[in-house]
Amino acid sequence: MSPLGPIAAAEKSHMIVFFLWMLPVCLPILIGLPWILIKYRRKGGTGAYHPEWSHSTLAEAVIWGGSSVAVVILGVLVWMNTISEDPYKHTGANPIKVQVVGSEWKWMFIYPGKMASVNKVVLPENTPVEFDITATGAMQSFWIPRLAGQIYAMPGMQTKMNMTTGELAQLEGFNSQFNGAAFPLDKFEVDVVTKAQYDAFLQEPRKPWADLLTQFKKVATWDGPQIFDAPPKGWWDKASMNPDLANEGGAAILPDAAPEQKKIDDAIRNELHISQNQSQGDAQ
Amino acid sequence: MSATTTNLGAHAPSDQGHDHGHAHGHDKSGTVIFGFWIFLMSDLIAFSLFIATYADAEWHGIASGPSPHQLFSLGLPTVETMALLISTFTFGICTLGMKYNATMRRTIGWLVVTLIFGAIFLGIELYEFHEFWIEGNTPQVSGFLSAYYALVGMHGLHVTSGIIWGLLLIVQMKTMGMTELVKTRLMRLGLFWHMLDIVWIALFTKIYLMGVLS
Amino acid sequence: MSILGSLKWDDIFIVPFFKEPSLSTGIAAAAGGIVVLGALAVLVLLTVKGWWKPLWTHWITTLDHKKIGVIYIVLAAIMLIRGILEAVVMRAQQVAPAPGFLSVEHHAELFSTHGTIMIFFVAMPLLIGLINVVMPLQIGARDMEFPFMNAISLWLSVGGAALVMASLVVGHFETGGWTAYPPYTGIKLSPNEGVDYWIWSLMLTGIGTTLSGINFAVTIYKQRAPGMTLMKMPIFAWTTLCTAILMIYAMVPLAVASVMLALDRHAGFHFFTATQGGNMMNFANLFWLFGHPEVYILILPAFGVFSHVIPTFSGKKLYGYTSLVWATVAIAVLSFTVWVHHFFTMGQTAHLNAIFGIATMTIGVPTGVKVYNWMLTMWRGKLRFSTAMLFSAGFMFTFVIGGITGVMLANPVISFAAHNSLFLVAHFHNMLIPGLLFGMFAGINYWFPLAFGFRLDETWGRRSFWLWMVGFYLTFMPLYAIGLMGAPRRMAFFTDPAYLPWLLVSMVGALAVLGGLTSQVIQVWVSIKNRESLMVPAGDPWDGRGLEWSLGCPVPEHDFTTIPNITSREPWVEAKERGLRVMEPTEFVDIHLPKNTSMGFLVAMVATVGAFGLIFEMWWLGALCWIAMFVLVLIRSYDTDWEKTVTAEELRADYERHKHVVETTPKVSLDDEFTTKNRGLVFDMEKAV
Ligand code: HEA
Ligand code: HEA
Ligand code: CUA
Ligand SMILES: [Cu+2]
Repeated sequence: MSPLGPIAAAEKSHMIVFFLWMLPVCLPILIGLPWILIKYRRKGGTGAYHPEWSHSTLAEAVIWGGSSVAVVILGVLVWMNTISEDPYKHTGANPIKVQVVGSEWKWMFIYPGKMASVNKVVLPENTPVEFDITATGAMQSFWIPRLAGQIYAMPGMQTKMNMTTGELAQLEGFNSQFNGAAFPLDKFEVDVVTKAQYDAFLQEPRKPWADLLTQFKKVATWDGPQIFDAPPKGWWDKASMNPDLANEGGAAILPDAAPEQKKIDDAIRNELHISQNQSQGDAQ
Repeated sequence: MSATTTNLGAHAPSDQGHDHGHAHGHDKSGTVIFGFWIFLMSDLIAFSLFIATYADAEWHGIASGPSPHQLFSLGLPTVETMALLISTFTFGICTLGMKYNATMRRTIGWLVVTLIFGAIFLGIELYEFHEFWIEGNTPQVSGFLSAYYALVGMHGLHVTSGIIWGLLLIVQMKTMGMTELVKTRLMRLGLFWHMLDIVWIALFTKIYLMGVLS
Repeated sequence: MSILGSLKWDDIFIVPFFKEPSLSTGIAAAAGGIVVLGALAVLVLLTVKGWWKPLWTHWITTLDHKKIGVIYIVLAAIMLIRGILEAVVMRAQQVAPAPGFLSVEHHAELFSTHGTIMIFFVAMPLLIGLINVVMPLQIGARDMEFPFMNAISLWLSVGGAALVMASLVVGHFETGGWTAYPPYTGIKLSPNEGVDYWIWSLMLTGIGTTLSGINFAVTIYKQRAPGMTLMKMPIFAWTTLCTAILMIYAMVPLAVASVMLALDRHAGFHFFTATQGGNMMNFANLFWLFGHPEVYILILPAFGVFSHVIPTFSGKKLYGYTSLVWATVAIAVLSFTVWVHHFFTMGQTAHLNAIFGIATMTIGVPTGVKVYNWMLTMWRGKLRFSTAMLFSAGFMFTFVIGGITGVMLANPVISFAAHNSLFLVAHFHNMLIPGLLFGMFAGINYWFPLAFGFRLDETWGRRSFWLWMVGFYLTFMPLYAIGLMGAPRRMAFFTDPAYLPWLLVSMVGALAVLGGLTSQVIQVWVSIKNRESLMVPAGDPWDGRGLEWSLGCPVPEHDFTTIPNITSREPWVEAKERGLRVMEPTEFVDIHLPKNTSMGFLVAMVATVGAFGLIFEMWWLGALCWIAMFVLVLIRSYDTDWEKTVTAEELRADYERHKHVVETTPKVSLDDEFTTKNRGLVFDMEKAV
């Protein structure tokens, strides 16, 4: 794990702290067990044999008490961590708002009132961001590992993910919840840029929103990131309640010979820079 | 260590006063009924999960369909409920009578009365489904209606199988006589029937009473 | 609608390959071919050897709990061959240069069937089988309380497994993982029959499992030998009781969820369709309301096995019996309070997540108590490293590591970063393989003689242990690492070159596991070949401590000649201390045993055919089978002649025979435990009176 933002960094440090707090109750087993196995082996062991020994109040107290204390400590940690790292909580004042629609197998990002893009999200460095997330079709999980943990994207529902970006970087985000034939392609670019570059990005020339929508509804996977006008105000809210606005809906399971499957195979080869002539089987 | 000697191998003194080790244990009918109880418990879990689903769908699942308030009235469901309550009462008389050695005719008589009331209950339920259906309120309309039909329908299926079971028992009483076996079966049907009654009270309250009042 | 429902030519395993030859379709065709040829080979073998009749009279129609248990274990062994082959193919797919040799969907079918098979058709039959063989012997019962229902449970599980196998030959299996979340599994996104295979095979085995649970609970409640109070009951019986209660309550949510899914798919209901007022999160809740207790259903019987293997091979009384009982009960109760930890990422409030996180970690306390108790059982003992004991020790060490990662996942913040990743995959294999599987291996090695009368070969057993142990670490430790690097689960191929070395190690590990499994096959083969010299007719080949070891090996059909009276927790140990070598009954009386019947088998097979009909939308077939089942049950209800009698004389003769064997068998010292001198009745000579 190489975290870039403060949230991902906090996740990493929790992981380490949490792990260390478990050692006092777990190490005695990891060390004690091999020692006992050696010391009390029947042939050649040196331990004294007490076949009837089967109870010790002291040991009981230490075992039950010790693990309970450990769980209390871990419990306090969990309570504090969970609340301080709540993905619904803003990570700073006035976060940049980005609305997200996950679909089979592409991601739409909307900067409300400014612009929209597919498979690419551009963010200024060291800035708090709030993603509002929904999906069409299957359930997905929105995840940019180096910035923060994941949250589900679900049709008919809205979830939120707050994070703060770190230094300049080119990252990858993806869907981690299996959703069918082009799941390995279900990812997007995350560019963390300077404030100036970010402002410039919002000014870039773009295509009309209607183009995005027709395309988005039609294709399964998306070739390269592109930018468009923002949708009318409130569109995302409506789409989150009615996923059909963004997706006409096809099957995620395709017969091996379906034309969509062919396109997806091509897209996979494209992604992997494998020449179009090679069939999948030969690729190895 | 226990100070008593281990009487390993000595024959077990039986609490029943006679001493043999059947593969089926001693109080077979009691055991069967105990097992059936446990089964009913898991059936109850199924009902409660459907009720929980219904409760959720009632809030969030109306979509473009009707709300409970628009859909339900109390009239027919109350009659329906009365029919089921009466049937539970008559089943009680039936099994109690059997315990105190009522004649087979009496037992069958009360069972028939029970089943008739069960059938009335079912008839009303189907009539109501039919009414909803022709108004276009089918389960395909909304999450709420799906949950409604599934929950009430599942209860209805249970009542249906109870009725079939009862009819078969009448045949068995006639053909096999009032054997211990048939009696246990009747006792089990009784448990089943009473459970359905209790479940129905919950459904009536949750779906119709609270739905109309909401 | 045609009479064949939605069945098409393309559903036959070999057709897609001819239409569209590729490695991916080729593998699918080969897999289907193996199933078909395998089935044919079995049929031919049975016919040539003339085994049909014995198979029918001794096995298919049996109601004997020991034989039913053995059939369960055989079922597990067959299904496991498929499960492991799939695992190896998946590991190979991920190391092959992207995009590998499987299509994304074919890979998805593999992890879905692998998960479903391993949980429902390997793990469950293994533990239910072991419980069937051992539990009644431990509590002094003659059989399960409801032997006929036991047969129905068994054959329903077989039916479910048969459907999963059929999906290789006819049509496809589901591709959404063993968890099958909608809307992915809804009719719109998954229009083929795969999800229906999932629904109906789990429905069959789920009903079977619920009935097994009822059977076990009632048996333990009503059939204990006189004097065996609950607190004198062996730990394995305790863990069975808790598992049984979990089975009774936990299988229901799965059934409810899958019925709803089926209604959504085929009747246009909207339980899970977001746009029409459905709620897909309800499926996640229902599934894990089953799924989490399920993982404890899997682990508790293994805990029970360790609680017997460890004292026996430590030559020492179990440490902390009372603690272990309460820890078991606590785990069972707590297991219903933690299901949300499987979807901390579904957007509920932080407080709710925190509460479920803490509830989850609480399970660490009773689990830790157990591990420490086993350790203290070994402490001050005299340890003998049989295969069973090795698996137990390997379990304790490795399980703690899996427990640590489990507790880490219980922290919602960590779960955000590890959910749906290979870290999670490593966690659960870390619990399932060294926990459940090692437990079952230990149990099978330990109790094998009860069912078959001979011991399993120790040399190959120990080899298999080491291969399993090393293979496990090699396969799954790398997955922890790349999981933390952000590798998602269920991914058909990875493009990040940093993963490759780890994936290679993992592949090697999977091969080592395959070696471990092969050693086990060899172990069974060698043991059957040398069974004469491995026979332990006098029983008690390990200086055992429980009631089950007071019987000869193999245990006769009626189990006990007379049911013993119990006054302490380890009656057999105390009997041996008083110099007894066999139970001494005072009087013999006639007993009844259930007669064989084909009804259980028939009912379940009809149900299976009906389920197949439903999968391919042949509604007429479903309805027909439903009626047929009903008629069969009705016929059975008229059958009052269930029992056969074993007379007092037969019992006496059997007892005399056993006594003669025991008295003519020389005492064996612990030194010769693993040699052919062991014909049963092993004693610790340094301690013996
Ligand atoms: C009991 C459960 C169990 C077991 C034993 C295993 C064993 C193994 N599993 Fe699996 N696995 C799962 C349960 C299990 N798994 C589940 C639930 C999933 C998730 C599916 C999903 O995503 O929905 C999964 C997913 C899964 C994946 C997909 C990961 C992903 O999502 O990307 C992979 C990939 O390689 C994998 C590999 C392996 C390997 C190499 C083994 C090998 O270690 C071992 C191979 C197994 C054996 C060798 C069998 C052992 C022997 C017996 C059981 C009985 C023997 C009996 C007699 C001799 C009588 N498993
Ligand atoms: C036999 C199976 C088994 C067992 C026993 C466990 C045991 C545990 N599991 Fe695991 N788990 C699975 C099988 C199992 N699990 C499966 C199959 C999945 C994934 C399914 C899927 O998504 O496909 C899963 C997923 C899973 C998740 C979901 C993660 C996610 O999806 O993001 C979580 C989160 O909390 C979790 C936690 C735990 C915990 C806390 C335990 C605890 O019971 C562990 C307790 C043990 C110890 C802690 C070690 C010993 C104790 C001590 C040495 C004492 C001292 C220690 C303390 C006091 C802390 N498990
Ligand atoms: Cu007493 Cu049967
Ligand atoms: Cu869990």
